[in-house]
This record gives sequence, C-alpha cells and structure tokens, in this order.
Amino acid sequence: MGYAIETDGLAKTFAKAEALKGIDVRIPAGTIFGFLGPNGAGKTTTVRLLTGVLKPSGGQARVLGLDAAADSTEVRRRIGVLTETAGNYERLAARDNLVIFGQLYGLKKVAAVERAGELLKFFGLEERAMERVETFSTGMKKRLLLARALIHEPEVLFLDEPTSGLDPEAAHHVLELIKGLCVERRRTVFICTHNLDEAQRLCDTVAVIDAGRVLAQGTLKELEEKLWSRAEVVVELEEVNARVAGAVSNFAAEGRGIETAAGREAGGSEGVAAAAAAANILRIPLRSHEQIPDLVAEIVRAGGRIRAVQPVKHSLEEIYMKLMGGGGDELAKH
Amino acid sequence: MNWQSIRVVMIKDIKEIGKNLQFWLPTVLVPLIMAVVLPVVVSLIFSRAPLNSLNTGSWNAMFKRMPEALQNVFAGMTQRQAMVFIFANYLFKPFFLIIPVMVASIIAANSFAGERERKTIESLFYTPVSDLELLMGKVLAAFVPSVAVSWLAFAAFVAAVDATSFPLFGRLILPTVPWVLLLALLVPAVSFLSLAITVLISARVRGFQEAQQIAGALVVPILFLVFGQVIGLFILDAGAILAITVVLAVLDYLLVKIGAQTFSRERVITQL
Repeated sequence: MGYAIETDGLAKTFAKAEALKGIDVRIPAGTIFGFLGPNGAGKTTTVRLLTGVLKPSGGQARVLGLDAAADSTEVRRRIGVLTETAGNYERLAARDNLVIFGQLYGLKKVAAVERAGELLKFFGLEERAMERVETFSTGMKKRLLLARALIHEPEVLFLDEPTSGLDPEAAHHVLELIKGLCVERRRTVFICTHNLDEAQRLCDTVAVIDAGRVLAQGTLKELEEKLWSRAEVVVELEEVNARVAGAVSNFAAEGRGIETAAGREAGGSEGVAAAAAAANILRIPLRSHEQIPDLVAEIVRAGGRIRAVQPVKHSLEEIYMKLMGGGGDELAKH
Repeated sequence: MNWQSIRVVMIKDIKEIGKNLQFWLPTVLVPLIMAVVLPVVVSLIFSRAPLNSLNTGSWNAMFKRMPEALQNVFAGMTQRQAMVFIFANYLFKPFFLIIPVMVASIIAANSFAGERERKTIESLFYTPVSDLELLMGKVLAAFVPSVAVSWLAFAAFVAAVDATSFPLFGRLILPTVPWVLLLALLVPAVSFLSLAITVLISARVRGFQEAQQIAGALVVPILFLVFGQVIGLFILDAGAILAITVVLAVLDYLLVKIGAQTFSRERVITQL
C-alpha cells in the first residue's frame, strides 16, 4: 500500500527551541491517522512542515509522493487544512469566504461559486450564506472552516481539533463526514486531537508525540501489544470450584496470578451478594487472545459453566496515559 | 506568476477593508475636506470678499519673495486672480500627497498587521499561492485604492476650483501640467513608499492600530512641504515634482527589495 505521508527524521529547530527531534511517520493512503500529544508537543509544527509552510531543519517529509519543502506549492494544491489558528474572514459573508479560497486553490469563479453552494448546503449553512461570519456561532464557524478545507476536494486533509467547540450532534456529523471521505473517496485524513475517545472511534492508526519525539505509532492493537506484553481475558462463571480453578491456573500465562474481580472490588462493593457474584468473575492473563477458545474448552471440560467471556482491551486513553507515564521511552528505544 | 491568485488576494483585501468603518471615515472625510470644502471656501473668499478685508499686505510681500519666473506667471493677473491662482496651483498640492499616504497606510496596516492580529493570514499560507503572489496581491490592494482615491479627489478638486473661479477668470485654470505630473507620478510613488514602509512596520508590531499609528508619522515630511510652500521656502513646480519622484522611486525600489525578503510564510508564521 502506498503512503500518502511519510517522514524520515523530520526535524525543526526554531531560534532557541528544538521543536521536532527527528520524527518518522508512515501514513497509508486512504486511512485516518490520529496525531496525539499534549500542547507544545510538536503537532502544529509537524502540520506546518507537512504542508510546506515551514522548511525542515533536518530530515524530509513526503506528501503524496512530493517533497513537502521543495514542491510545497503543488503539495498545498492537493491538501486541505483546518487549524484553530487559521480563521475565517469574519467581516466577509460565508459564501465569499468559500469562493475566495476556491479561487485561490485554482477553481474558476463559476466553479468556486457552485462548489461553495454545495458545501454550504451540506454543512447546513445555506440560509446564512450571505451573512457575515462574525454573526455566526462557534459551531457554524467551525463548519465553515471545514467546508473551506474541502472546497477543492483535497486528497489529504489535515484537521486540527476538528470537533472542538461543536455540540455532540454537530461533532457526530463531522466525524461521519470524515469517515465517509476516507471510506468512500479514499482520502487520507491527518487529525491532531486531544479527544482520545474520538480518535479511538475514528483513526486507523495513531502516533503519540511528546517533546518533539514520536513515542509510538501503529494501530490500536499494535500499540496495545507493544505496551502490554500479555493479553487478559475476563471470564464469568456460575461457580468457581477447585477443578475449574485448577484448570484455569494451569492454562494461565506463567508468572502471573489470576485475580478475582471480588479481590479488587470487595472494598467498594456494597453487599455480600455483590461480592459473591464478583467472586465468580476471573481475570486471567494469557500469552495472547488467540488462546481464548482453548481456555474456554478447558473450563468446560473441567465442568465449569460459563456465563460470559470478555477479552480485556485497553482504550486509547489507557495507551496514551501509559506512554505519557514513561512507557513510551522504552518503546522508542526498540 | 499566477495572476488569478494575485487578483483574488487583492479583491479579498479590498472587500475586507471596505467593510471597516475605520477605513471609510478618514478615506471619505479627509479628501472631501481637502479637495472640496476647503477649496470652495477659499476660492469664494478670494474671489468675492471685499479686497480691503483681506490682508493684502502680506500677500504683496509674498509675491515679492517669489522667483522671477514665477512672478511672470502672474503678470497681467489682478490681485484676486493671482491669489486664487496661487492657492489652486501651489498651496493645495501637498494636501494631495497626504491622501495617498493615509489611504495606503490604513489598507496596508489592515492587510498585513490586521490579518495577523485577526488570525486569518495563516489560512492564506496553506493555499498554493506563492509568497510573492501573496505580497503582490496585498501591495496592489493598498496601491490601487490609494491612487484611485487621490485621482477621484483631484477630479473633485478641479471641478470645485474651476466652478468657483470661472466667473473671476473667464476660463478654466485647472488642471495644469505640474498638477498632472503630481497625480501621475508623485502620487503613485508616495503611495508605494507609504505602503512599503507600513508593510515593514506591520512585520514588527502586534496589531493593526499600532501599525497605523506608527505609519501615521509618514505625514510629517509632507507637512514640511505644506509649510515650505506656505512660507515660500520652495514651490512644487514640475521640476521639483520630477526630482522628488525620482528620489522616491529609488527609495521604493530599495524598500520593495527589503519587503520581499521580509515577507515569507516561515518568517510571518513564526511570529504569530
């Protein structure tokens, strides 16, 4: 699969500060990539380097096969950008904003007007098209920025916090649109966000950046496997007797104990019934989730009656926190 | 060079400034006062008021200080005609340099410092427009209206002066060759100088107001021309206009070179 974006040792030093310390990122074409990290980590600098607005101090960035620094004009012709620091022209009408940018991206005026009309309709701004943007709500301004980024049907879309300031319904609408662009039109989307839930739902791959270095990148599953060397499964049984317990401990990955949920939660549970129920829930470490069918068969053979089996999956938030807590340093060394 | 991009940037900037009251008030009022109200009042006073109510003594003294060539211009004119002729041809010329300085600096401050302040300039940086095209679009957005407003004001001035002075002269006294040279050469040169300096100032200040205030100081050298004319130190004849134009053209060229180097995406964006 071809990469829409690839960087090799991409670095940027400003007068005093080293903003990016050589990052290597690969983003397959037609996928959604989440770029996660705290404020000041280097996300905006990366976007500015990839869009050719800044020139790198070291390394190289290629976007759609073009050198982002040397062919920056051609790169910018084929990408769309939405960032919080690049606002609308507030004194001009919504439609004028779109038409002007359409023309700057090379559309003829007639085509720009037509495309602006379609986008205004799509984003529910049709009725306010001729009004000044300064009269718009935050959500409407955001939708207009998104429309502007799409005016020339870019092949790669850079979105910085695309849903911040939007109400849940509008945010959902925008996320669906981004997914649609990616799936139906094979566009590549590069999203910088702090919203980890959103990134988890949306992104095919993510990278976590801190202090100018990429701590880890990959699919959620890949990151999880890198960060947690063993898989876990939670099994709920009608009753845990000695035979079942024996079967499970023989099966479980070596060196790690089996926890009952009761052991964890007894302190917080409110009644004996709850504690007893929790005692039937086992958290079992495995070498990988592929062992689950065999584990289930083993429990059944030992006479255990299973109510539920749930592989433990770590959320992007857990992954992010673990990386930020120092797990990333170890990964970066590998 | 993509002319569509340059034109779109220019029209965008002009549209934007056109929605700003801070632009319209001075751009309409100042030319209106300088090019219509003042000339009509002065012309009417000089051509209608009783001669003994005017301080003719100081006028006579001023005539005598004039170079001989200039005195020849007034040969055969009545004192009233000479007074109207002087104000129409000499005293008002520097005012027509204040107009382009003012208009060009307001637009340039809005278009460079203002766009940075309002966080819109970065939007332009993500488009395929080159740094030079962006700069040219923005320079033209200040230059074209500045020259246009000056020319419109001059047309109004000619109409006002000729209408009020025709009964006195029996002929149209404006326009004259030095006036045309001033409008055709010096006004564009001054507009360019004003906007180039404002662009350089805009790169170093926080916002539109600050850029405009500093650029306002550009009017000071023109005030010297006003007073110089009034006290008879020198006169803005064709020769002086050509000489000043040449000096300004050289300055313009140097400033454009510096400006073009200063205005790059990388430089502007790291200042945001």
